[in-house]
Amino acid sequence: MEIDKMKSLWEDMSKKVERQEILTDQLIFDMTKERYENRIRSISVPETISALICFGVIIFLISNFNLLDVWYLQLSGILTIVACLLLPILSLKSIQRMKNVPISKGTYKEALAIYAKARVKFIRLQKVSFYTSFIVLILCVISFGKIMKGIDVFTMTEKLNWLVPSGIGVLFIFSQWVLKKYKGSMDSANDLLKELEE
Amino acid sequence: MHSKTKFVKDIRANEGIIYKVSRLYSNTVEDQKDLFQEIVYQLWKSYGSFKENAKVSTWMYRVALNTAISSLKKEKRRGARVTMDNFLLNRPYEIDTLTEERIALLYAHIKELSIVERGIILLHLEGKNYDEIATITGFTNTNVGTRLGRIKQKLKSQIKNGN
Repeated sequence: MEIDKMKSLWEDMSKKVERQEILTDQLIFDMTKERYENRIRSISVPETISALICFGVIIFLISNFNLLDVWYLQLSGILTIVACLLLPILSLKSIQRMKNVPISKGTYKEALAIYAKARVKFIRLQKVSFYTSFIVLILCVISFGKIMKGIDVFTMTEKLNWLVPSGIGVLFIFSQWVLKKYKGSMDSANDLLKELEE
Repeated sequence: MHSKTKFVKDIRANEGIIYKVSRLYSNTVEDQKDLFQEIVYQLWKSYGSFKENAKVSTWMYRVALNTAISSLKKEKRRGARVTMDNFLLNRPYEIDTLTEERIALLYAHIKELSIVERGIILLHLEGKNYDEIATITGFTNTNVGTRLGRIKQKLKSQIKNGN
Protein backbone atom coordinates (compact mmCIF):
# COMPACT_ATOMS: atom_id res chain seq x y z
CA MET A 1 0.00 0.00 0.00
CA GLU A 2 1.48 3.34 -1.07
CA ILE A 3 1.10 6.52 1.01
CA ASP A 4 -1.18 8.05 -1.64
CA LYS A 5 -3.34 4.93 -1.63
CA MET A 6 -3.40 5.13 2.13
CA LYS A 7 -4.78 8.63 1.97
CA SER A 8 -7.42 7.78 -0.61
CA LEU A 9 -8.49 4.71 1.39
CA TRP A 10 -8.79 6.90 4.50
CA GLU A 11 -10.85 9.49 2.60
CA ASP A 12 -13.07 6.77 1.22
CA MET A 13 -13.62 5.32 4.70
CA SER A 14 -14.31 8.79 6.15
CA LYS A 15 -16.97 9.54 3.54
CA LYS A 16 -18.75 6.28 4.30
CA VAL A 17 -18.55 6.83 8.07
CA GLU A 18 -19.99 10.33 7.71
CA ARG A 19 -22.84 9.12 5.52
CA GLN A 20 -23.98 6.46 7.95
CA GLU A 21 -24.90 8.53 11.01
CA ILE A 22 -25.42 5.56 13.31
CA LEU A 23 -25.52 7.45 16.61
CA THR A 24 -29.04 8.26 17.73
CA ASP A 25 -30.01 11.22 19.91
CA GLN A 26 -30.98 8.83 22.69
CA LEU A 27 -27.66 6.98 22.54
CA ILE A 28 -25.75 10.26 22.90
CA PHE A 29 -27.94 11.32 25.86
CA ASP A 30 -27.39 7.94 27.49
CA MET A 31 -23.62 8.09 26.99
CA THR A 32 -23.26 11.45 28.76
CA LYS A 33 -25.71 10.50 31.52
CA GLU A 34 -24.38 6.99 32.27
CA ARG A 35 -20.79 8.18 32.22
CA TYR A 36 -21.54 10.99 34.65
CA GLU A 37 -23.58 8.93 37.06
CA ASN A 38 -21.05 6.11 37.20
CA ARG A 39 -17.88 8.15 37.30
CA ILE A 40 -16.98 6.84 40.73
CA ARG A 41 -16.97 3.24 39.50
CA SER A 42 -14.03 3.94 37.23
CA ILE A 43 -11.63 3.93 40.21
CA SER A 44 -9.65 0.77 39.76
CA VAL A 45 -10.35 -2.25 41.93
CA PRO A 46 -6.72 -3.09 42.94
CA GLU A 47 -6.06 0.45 44.21
CA THR A 48 -9.30 0.49 46.19
CA ILE A 49 -8.63 -2.94 47.72
CA SER A 50 -5.04 -1.93 48.64
CA ALA A 51 -6.27 1.29 50.26
CA LEU A 52 -8.93 -0.62 52.24
CA ILE A 53 -6.36 -3.17 53.46
CA CYS A 54 -4.05 -0.35 54.56
CA PHE A 55 -6.81 1.43 56.45
CA GLY A 56 -7.84 -1.89 58.04
CA VAL A 57 -4.26 -2.39 59.25
CA ILE A 58 -4.21 1.15 60.70
CA ILE A 59 -7.47 0.58 62.64
CA PHE A 60 -6.23 -2.80 63.92
CA LEU A 61 -2.89 -1.39 65.08
CA ILE A 62 -4.39 1.68 66.75
CA SER A 63 -6.99 -0.38 68.64
CA ASN A 64 -4.32 -2.84 69.87
CA PHE A 65 -1.46 -0.42 70.33
CA ASN A 66 -1.40 -0.97 74.13
CA LEU A 67 -0.19 -4.57 73.50
CA LEU A 68 3.05 -3.27 71.99
CA ASP A 69 4.87 -2.93 75.30
CA VAL A 70 8.51 -2.37 74.30
CA TRP A 71 9.80 0.82 72.62
CA TYR A 72 11.00 -0.92 69.41
CA LEU A 73 7.65 -2.70 69.02
CA GLN A 74 5.87 0.63 69.49
CA LEU A 75 8.19 2.21 66.92
CA SER A 76 7.36 -0.62 64.45
CA GLY A 77 3.66 0.01 65.04
CA ILE A 78 3.96 3.77 64.49
CA LEU A 79 6.04 3.36 61.31
CA THR A 80 3.53 0.82 59.94
CA ILE A 81 0.64 3.22 60.61
CA VAL A 82 2.46 6.14 58.92
CA ALA A 83 3.39 4.03 55.87
CA CYS A 84 -0.11 2.55 55.53
CA LEU A 85 -1.57 6.04 55.66
CA LEU A 86 0.85 7.76 53.28
CA LEU A 87 1.40 5.14 50.56
CA PRO A 88 -2.21 4.80 49.33
CA ILE A 89 -2.77 8.56 49.47
CA LEU A 90 0.40 9.30 47.47
CA SER A 91 -0.38 6.55 44.99
CA LEU A 92 -3.97 7.72 44.39
CA LYS A 93 -2.80 11.34 44.08
CA SER A 94 -0.18 10.32 41.57
CA ILE A 95 -2.71 8.45 39.45
CA GLN A 96 -5.02 11.44 39.63
CA ARG A 97 -2.21 13.67 38.31
CA MET A 98 -1.87 11.41 35.27
CA LYS A 99 -5.58 11.75 34.59
CA ASN A 100 -5.44 15.55 34.86
CA VAL A 101 -4.65 16.09 31.21
CA PRO A 102 -6.12 19.42 30.03
CA ILE A 103 -8.74 17.92 27.76
CA SER A 104 -10.60 20.89 26.35
CA LYS A 105 -8.12 23.75 26.80
CA GLY A 106 -4.69 22.31 26.13
CA THR A 107 -3.17 21.32 22.82
CA TYR A 108 -2.13 17.75 21.94
CA LYS A 109 1.51 18.67 22.69
CA GLU A 110 0.66 20.12 26.11
CA ALA A 111 -1.54 17.16 27.01
CA LEU A 112 1.20 14.71 26.03
CA ALA A 113 3.85 16.61 28.02
CA ILE A 114 1.66 16.68 31.14
CA TYR A 115 0.85 12.99 30.76
CA ALA A 116 4.50 11.98 30.25
CA LYS A 117 5.77 14.05 33.21
CA ALA A 118 3.04 12.68 35.49
CA ARG A 119 3.91 9.18 34.31
CA VAL A 120 7.60 9.64 35.16
CA LYS A 121 6.61 10.82 38.67
CA PHE A 122 4.18 7.91 39.03
CA ILE A 123 6.85 5.33 38.12
CA ARG A 124 9.31 6.93 40.57
CA LEU A 125 6.69 6.71 43.31
CA GLN A 126 5.96 3.10 42.37
CA LYS A 127 9.65 2.28 42.79
CA VAL A 128 9.79 3.93 46.21
CA SER A 129 6.53 2.20 47.20
CA PHE A 130 7.93 -1.14 46.11
CA TYR A 131 10.89 -0.94 48.50
CA THR A 132 8.83 0.67 51.26
CA SER A 133 6.31 -2.17 51.03
CA PHE A 134 8.99 -4.67 51.97
CA ILE A 135 9.92 -2.63 55.02
CA VAL A 136 6.22 -2.31 55.92
CA LEU A 137 5.84 -6.07 55.54
CA ILE A 138 8.66 -6.67 58.02
CA LEU A 139 7.22 -4.06 60.40
CA CYS A 140 3.79 -5.73 60.11
CA VAL A 141 5.27 -9.13 61.02
CA ILE A 142 6.90 -7.57 64.10
CA SER A 143 3.75 -5.70 65.26
CA PHE A 144 1.20 -8.41 64.34
CA GLY A 145 3.38 -11.15 65.87
CA LYS A 146 3.25 -9.38 69.19
CA ILE A 147 -0.44 -8.39 69.05
CA MET A 148 -1.85 -11.70 67.76
CA LYS A 149 0.55 -14.29 69.23
CA GLY A 150 2.41 -12.38 71.94
CA ILE A 151 5.74 -13.07 70.18
CA ASP A 152 8.63 -10.60 70.27
CA VAL A 153 10.38 -11.37 66.95
CA PHE A 154 13.62 -9.74 68.13
CA THR A 155 14.08 -12.42 70.80
CA MET A 156 13.84 -15.29 68.28
CA THR A 157 17.49 -15.12 67.20
CA GLU A 158 17.65 -18.66 65.79
CA LYS A 159 14.79 -18.10 63.36
CA LEU A 160 16.08 -14.64 62.47
CA ASN A 161 19.36 -16.20 61.33
CA TRP A 162 17.68 -17.84 58.35
CA LEU A 163 14.62 -15.60 57.96
CA VAL A 164 16.60 -12.40 57.30
CA PRO A 165 18.99 -13.80 54.60
CA SER A 166 16.19 -15.65 52.79
CA GLY A 167 14.01 -12.51 52.92
CA ILE A 168 16.81 -10.47 51.37
CA GLY A 169 17.24 -13.15 48.68
CA VAL A 170 13.55 -13.06 47.75
CA LEU A 171 13.62 -9.25 47.72
CA PHE A 172 16.64 -9.24 45.40
CA ILE A 173 15.13 -11.65 42.86
CA PHE A 174 11.74 -9.95 42.90
CA SER A 175 13.23 -6.46 42.65
CA GLN A 176 15.23 -7.39 39.52
CA TRP A 177 12.02 -8.39 37.79
CA VAL A 178 10.09 -5.33 38.98
CA LEU A 179 12.87 -2.86 38.14
CA LYS A 180 13.10 -4.26 34.62
CA LYS A 181 9.38 -3.67 34.22
CA TYR A 182 9.63 -0.10 35.56
CA LYS A 183 12.64 0.66 33.39
CA GLY A 184 10.61 -0.08 30.24
CA SER A 185 7.79 2.24 31.32
CA MET A 186 10.21 4.96 32.42
CA ASP A 187 12.14 4.78 29.14
CA SER A 188 8.98 5.11 27.06
CA ALA A 189 7.79 8.13 29.09
CA ASN A 190 11.22 9.79 28.76
CA ASP A 191 11.32 9.00 25.02
CA LEU A 192 7.94 10.72 24.66
CA LEU A 193 9.26 13.83 26.43
CA LYS A 194 12.37 13.85 24.21
CA GLU A 195 10.26 13.45 21.09
CA LEU A 196 8.11 16.44 22.09
CA GLU A 197 11.21 18.62 22.44
CA GLU A 198 12.55 17.75 18.97
CA MET B 1 -31.22 26.36 19.89
CA HIS B 2 -31.15 24.51 23.19
CA SER B 3 -27.55 23.57 24.05
CA LYS B 4 -28.27 19.85 24.49
CA THR B 5 -30.05 19.64 21.16
CA LYS B 6 -27.25 21.61 19.52
CA PHE B 7 -24.67 19.32 21.14
CA VAL B 8 -26.39 16.19 19.83
CA LYS B 9 -26.58 17.75 16.37
CA ASP B 10 -22.85 18.58 16.41
CA ILE B 11 -21.92 15.10 17.63
CA ARG B 12 -24.03 13.40 14.99
CA ALA B 13 -22.56 15.60 12.30
CA ASN B 14 -19.00 14.71 13.37
CA GLU B 15 -19.32 11.23 14.81
CA GLY B 16 -16.75 9.95 12.30
CA ILE B 17 -14.02 11.87 14.17
CA ILE B 18 -14.85 10.07 17.42
CA TYR B 19 -14.96 6.72 15.67
CA LYS B 20 -11.57 7.20 13.99
CA VAL B 21 -9.77 8.56 17.07
CA SER B 22 -11.15 5.83 19.34
CA ARG B 23 -10.13 3.12 16.90
CA LEU B 24 -6.66 4.57 16.45
CA TYR B 25 -5.93 4.74 20.17
CA SER B 26 -7.38 1.38 21.25
CA ASN B 27 -6.15 -2.15 20.88
CA THR B 28 -9.38 -4.02 21.57
CA VAL B 29 -13.04 -3.50 20.67
CA GLU B 30 -13.87 -3.17 24.39
CA ASP B 31 -11.29 -0.39 24.84
CA GLN B 32 -12.55 1.25 21.67
CA LYS B 33 -16.13 1.32 22.95
CA ASP B 34 -14.94 2.68 26.25
CA LEU B 35 -12.85 5.43 24.65
CA PHE B 36 -15.69 6.30 22.26
CA GLN B 37 -18.03 6.95 25.19
CA GLU B 38 -15.38 8.76 27.20
CA ILE B 39 -14.84 11.14 24.27
CA VAL B 40 -18.59 11.81 23.97
CA TYR B 41 -18.71 12.45 27.72
CA GLN B 42 -15.67 14.80 27.65
CA LEU B 43 -17.15 16.66 24.68
CA TRP B 44 -20.39 17.14 26.60
CA LYS B 45 -18.47 18.27 29.69
CA SER B 46 -16.48 20.88 27.81
CA TYR B 47 -19.31 21.94 25.49
CA GLY B 48 -20.04 24.95 27.70
CA SER B 49 -16.55 26.37 27.21
CA PHE B 50 -16.61 25.81 23.46
CA LYS B 51 -16.69 29.15 21.65
CA GLU B 52 -19.27 29.39 18.89
CA ASN B 53 -16.87 31.26 16.62
CA ALA B 54 -14.40 28.36 16.69
CA LYS B 55 -14.70 25.46 14.26
CA VAL B 56 -16.62 22.53 15.78
CA SER B 57 -14.37 19.96 14.16
CA THR B 58 -11.17 21.64 15.47
CA TRP B 59 -12.57 21.59 19.00
CA MET B 60 -13.68 17.98 18.57
CA TYR B 61 -10.28 16.81 17.34
CA ARG B 62 -8.59 18.50 20.28
CA VAL B 63 -10.93 17.03 22.90
CA ALA B 64 -10.92 13.59 21.27
CA LEU B 65 -7.12 13.41 21.00
CA ASN B 66 -6.56 14.71 24.53
CA THR B 67 -9.11 12.25 25.91
CA ALA B 68 -7.26 9.46 24.11
CA ILE B 69 -4.05 10.54 25.89
CA SER B 70 -5.74 10.65 29.30
CA SER B 71 -7.00 7.11 28.65
CA LEU B 72 -3.55 5.71 27.87
CA LYS B 73 -2.47 2.93 30.24
CA LYS B 74 -5.88 2.83 31.81
CA GLU B 75 -6.76 -0.67 30.69
CA LYS B 76 -9.20 -2.43 33.00
CA ARG B 77 -10.05 0.92 34.59
CA ARG B 78 -13.40 1.04 32.91
CA GLY B 79 -16.41 2.83 34.16
CA ALA B 80 -19.98 1.79 33.45
CA ARG B 81 -20.90 1.98 29.86
CA VAL B 82 -24.01 2.28 27.75
CA THR B 83 -24.63 -0.96 25.90
CA MET B 84 -23.28 -0.33 22.45
CA ASP B 85 -24.12 -2.65 19.65
CA ASN B 86 -21.01 -3.98 17.94
CA PHE B 87 -22.74 -2.73 14.82
CA LEU B 88 -21.74 0.75 15.95
CA LEU B 89 -18.05 -0.01 15.87
CA ASN B 90 -17.99 -2.65 13.17
CA ARG B 91 -19.64 -0.44 10.66
CA PRO B 92 -21.60 -1.98 7.79
CA TYR B 93 -19.21 -0.89 5.05
CA GLU B 94 -16.60 -3.06 6.73
CA ILE B 95 -18.62 -6.16 5.94
CA ASP B 96 -16.74 -6.05 2.67
CA THR B 97 -13.84 -8.25 3.78
CA LEU B 98 -11.28 -6.84 1.40
CA THR B 99 -12.00 -3.25 2.40
CA GLU B 100 -11.95 -4.16 6.08
CA GLU B 101 -8.62 -5.92 5.66
CA ARG B 102 -7.12 -2.90 3.95
CA ILE B 103 -8.51 -0.54 6.59
CA ALA B 104 -7.23 -2.79 9.37
CA LEU B 105 -3.79 -2.80 7.73
CA LEU B 106 -3.89 0.97 7.47
CA TYR B 107 -4.70 1.32 11.17
CA ALA B 108 -2.01 -1.25 12.03
CA HIS B 109 0.63 0.79 10.18
CA ILE B 110 -0.40 4.01 11.93
CA LYS B 111 -0.50 2.29 15.33
CA GLU B 112 3.16 1.36 14.89
CA LEU B 113 4.03 5.06 15.01
CA SER B 114 4.65 6.91 18.27
CA ILE B 115 1.77 8.62 20.08
CA VAL B 116 3.00 12.04 18.91
CA GLU B 117 3.20 10.90 15.29
CA ARG B 118 -0.14 9.11 15.43
CA GLY B 119 -2.01 12.35 16.17
CA ILE B 120 -0.23 14.27 13.41
CA ILE B 121 -0.77 11.66 10.70
CA LEU B 122 -4.42 11.31 11.68
CA LEU B 123 -4.97 15.03 11.12
CA HIS B 124 -3.02 14.89 7.88
CA LEU B 125 -5.12 12.00 6.59
CA GLU B 126 -8.20 13.95 7.63
CA GLY B 127 -7.15 16.56 5.12
CA LYS B 128 -6.04 19.22 7.60
CA ASN B 129 -3.41 21.69 6.42
CA TYR B 130 -0.27 22.62 8.39
CA ASP B 131 -1.99 25.60 10.04
CA GLU B 132 -4.89 23.51 11.29
CA ILE B 133 -2.61 20.71 12.47
CA ALA B 134 -0.47 23.29 14.28
CA THR B 135 -3.56 24.80 15.97
CA ILE B 136 -4.81 21.44 17.20
CA THR B 137 -1.47 19.95 18.21
CA GLY B 138 0.44 22.98 19.49
CA PHE B 139 3.51 22.32 17.31
CA THR B 140 4.73 25.08 14.99
CA ASN B 141 3.92 24.92 11.26
CA THR B 142 7.56 24.19 10.42
CA ASN B 143 7.71 21.48 13.06
CA VAL B 144 4.53 19.89 11.70
CA GLY B 145 6.11 19.84 8.24
CA THR B 146 9.33 18.27 9.50
CA ARG B 147 7.47 15.66 11.52
CA LEU B 148 5.15 14.80 8.65
CA GLY B 149 8.13 14.27 6.37
CA ARG B 150 9.63 11.88 8.90
CA ILE B 151 6.33 10.07 9.45
CA LYS B 152 5.88 9.52 5.73
CA GLN B 153 9.38 8.05 5.52
CA LYS B 154 8.63 5.75 8.43
CA LEU B 155 5.35 4.60 6.92
CA LYS B 156 7.03 4.05 3.59
CA SER B 157 9.64 1.76 5.11
CA GLN B 158 6.96 0.01 7.23
CA ILE B 159 4.88 -0.67 4.15
CA LYS B 160 7.94 -1.80 2.20
CA ASN B 161 8.98 -4.21 4.95
CA GLY B 162 5.43 -5.40 5.59
CA ASN B 163 4.38 -6.13 2.02
